Amino acid sequence: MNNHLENKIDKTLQSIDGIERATGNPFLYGKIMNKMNADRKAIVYTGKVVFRYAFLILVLAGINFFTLYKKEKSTKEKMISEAFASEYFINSKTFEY
Amino acid sequence: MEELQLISLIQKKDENAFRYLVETYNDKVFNTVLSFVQQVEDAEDICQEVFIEVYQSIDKFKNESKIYTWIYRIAVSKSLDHLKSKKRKKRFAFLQSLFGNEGISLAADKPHFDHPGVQLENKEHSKVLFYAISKLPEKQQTAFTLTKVEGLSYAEVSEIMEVSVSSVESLLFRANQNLRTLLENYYQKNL
Repeated sequence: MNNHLENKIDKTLQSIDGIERATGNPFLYGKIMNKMNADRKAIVYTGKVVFRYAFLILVLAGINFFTLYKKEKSTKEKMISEAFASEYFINSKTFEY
Repeated sequence: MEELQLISLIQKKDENAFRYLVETYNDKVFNTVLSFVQQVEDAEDICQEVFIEVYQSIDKFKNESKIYTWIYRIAVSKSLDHLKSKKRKKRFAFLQSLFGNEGISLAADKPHFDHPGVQLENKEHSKVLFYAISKLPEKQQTAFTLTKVEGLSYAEVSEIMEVSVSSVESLLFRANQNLRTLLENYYQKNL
């Protein structure tokens, strides 16, 4: 490596000798508090939205289960009455004279 | 304010205590982060994240080290995460450019960072040096930045990095060697 290049490298490595510390934003504290408050509001809002959707899903699921239960119950009752009718040769829909 | 008293007050979410902490460590954190990320806007955003993390995690602080050690550790960690994220975005942008997406511009990879604390006559050389520092492996970059830019002692750096003092010395030795190589290659191409 030639002298000139060596000197340039040394000068570059020494260029941050005596470097002073950079100064941070004097309004940093205010920015931090604003951000934390904004984040807190976002969490509360998100929580409310999630709760509302969860409640809606529960209500719909509840309606579906109730409907299925009622249908199941009426199907069973119909089967019982048809079995009874066929046992006693009664056709619930036609009457033979 | 005594450190234990300060920590205790912040754990009770005392805003005056937290303000005191921010004002005490603002310049230290900013200078450290800036030296890693080499962009003022990014450094300010990361500084916010550092202090928010300190506030939210203060209950986890176990008083096994000094609070400044813990704060520096968070600052270094967030800076390195930011650099990794930036490299990923660059790689993605490069791939997009291969598919002819002209809208994505790749930032030219060259010395650009003007640290505000460098003396005027050293500005040009320091830009090249910071460019070379950014090319070092993470641990060497951390050790070099904390000692040479932030001015911390080897003992302080060893606490922050959670390595021995001799490891810090070894990292600095290797960093200097690598910097010489990087600078030699740079100047041979650019003289």
